[in-house]
Amino acid sequence: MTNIYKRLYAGFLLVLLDINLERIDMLPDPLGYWLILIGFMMLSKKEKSLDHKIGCVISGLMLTYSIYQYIANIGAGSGHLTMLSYLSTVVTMILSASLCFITYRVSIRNYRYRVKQARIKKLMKEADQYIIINALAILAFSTVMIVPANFILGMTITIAIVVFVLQVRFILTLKRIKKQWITWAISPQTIDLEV
Amino acid sequence: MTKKMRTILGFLLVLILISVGINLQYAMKMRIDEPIYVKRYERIDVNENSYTEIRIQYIKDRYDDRELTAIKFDELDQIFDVRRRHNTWSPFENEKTVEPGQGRYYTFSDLFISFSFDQSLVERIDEKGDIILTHATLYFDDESTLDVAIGEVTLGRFKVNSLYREGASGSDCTFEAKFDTKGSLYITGFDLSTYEAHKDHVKLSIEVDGMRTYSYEDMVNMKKPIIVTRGLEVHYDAIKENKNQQWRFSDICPVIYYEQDQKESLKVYYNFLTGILDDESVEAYVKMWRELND
Repeated sequence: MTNIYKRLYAGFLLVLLDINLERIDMLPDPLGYWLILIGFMMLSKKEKSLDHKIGCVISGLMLTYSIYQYIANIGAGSGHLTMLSYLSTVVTMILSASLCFITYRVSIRNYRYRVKQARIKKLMKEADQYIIINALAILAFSTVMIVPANFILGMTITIAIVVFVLQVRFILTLKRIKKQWITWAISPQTIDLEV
Repeated sequence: MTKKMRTILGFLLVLILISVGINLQYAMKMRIDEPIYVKRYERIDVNENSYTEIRIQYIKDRYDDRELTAIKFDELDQIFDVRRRHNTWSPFENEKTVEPGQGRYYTFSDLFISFSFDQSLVERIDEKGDIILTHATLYFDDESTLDVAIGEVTLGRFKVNSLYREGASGSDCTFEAKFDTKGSLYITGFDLSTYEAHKDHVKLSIEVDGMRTYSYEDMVNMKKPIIVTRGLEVHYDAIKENKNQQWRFSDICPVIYYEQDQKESLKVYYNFLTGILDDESVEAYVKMWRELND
């Protein structure tokens, strides 16, 4: 499990962070999605579950799409909103949020016999907050073709900040979970770390 | 996941799908089949062997790949090659890949032609008077053509009338043109047809002799001539203080009819060139065009 979470954490971190040099992302998203896909495949091997299968499918789709984006050199900041880019952004946002939410769910299930109920409830609450706020952000973004042109910039910046904050929170939680599994690997006791 | 959460998420997903559907349908409705020429009203004083640039601006659909290559004005024989301005720098991409004015529905193109006035054109103007360009044919790189109304570009010799332009000034949201008179004269009427489409966005007024102000309603309902002894100022004020209303000033060209020794008319030109229109302005222009043409 430690190796799985190491991969998932590194994968999501690569997807979240972008370091661009001459328009080339030094932390390529396809590599991140590849690691996430490996993580979910390893989870699938351990236990047959619908969440694991969905995780594999979504990370596979995102891997394909991110490879296309990387090769075509389509940056997030290209600033050209077309019907196609609008549609692909909405779909990407839905898939990306679903992938993180499934990771939350999988982590909660893996915790079920190991941590106190209060901690699990806290993680469930965080997962619910994540998906609801993300869904609202996607709903707000989905109106971008219809709202007055002078609203678009302010609206997209606000949505980007909200989604970024949620992603950072998710990454930090994933880091704690990874750390917890490392602790268990070293010493198989009941956890006491704050999740 | 609780049942309540599932219901909320399902509801939000349905809302997102409905919203995407409506947005795409709206974006399809916003599409335009043919490019729209951005009209301009200006006067160019012609001198022998002088050169000037005429700005050519048009709006096309976001998915229209055609590029304008040349323009022919109906009133002139020559075909003019249009030239592209250098693209502006963008912090997001290198300068060669940025197409200025690409919005969510439309692409705005800002081009120009170089106009040289040779002897024959000057002689033609001296003989037959001003040449007024109102219509043109656009030639695109796919060999298609489009006949358009271009507003009104007057090519003429410089002359001083009884009412003459003394100066003009402007800001993002205002424009004022000052006119002086040679002796007293009477304003007998106005043609404000070019202003009609903008009256909800721009306030038009004239101030006569620095004392009396006439609004649009006063001008439309004018019952007796207005006497002008010293001069007048024409004011445009954007109702919503927003520089994105500025393009409207280029689309307004009030005509003032007046009498002194003889009947004359004066056209008020907005002499500050409106640059690259942003998305908000482009969409407002297309909306206005639809209202006038559909």
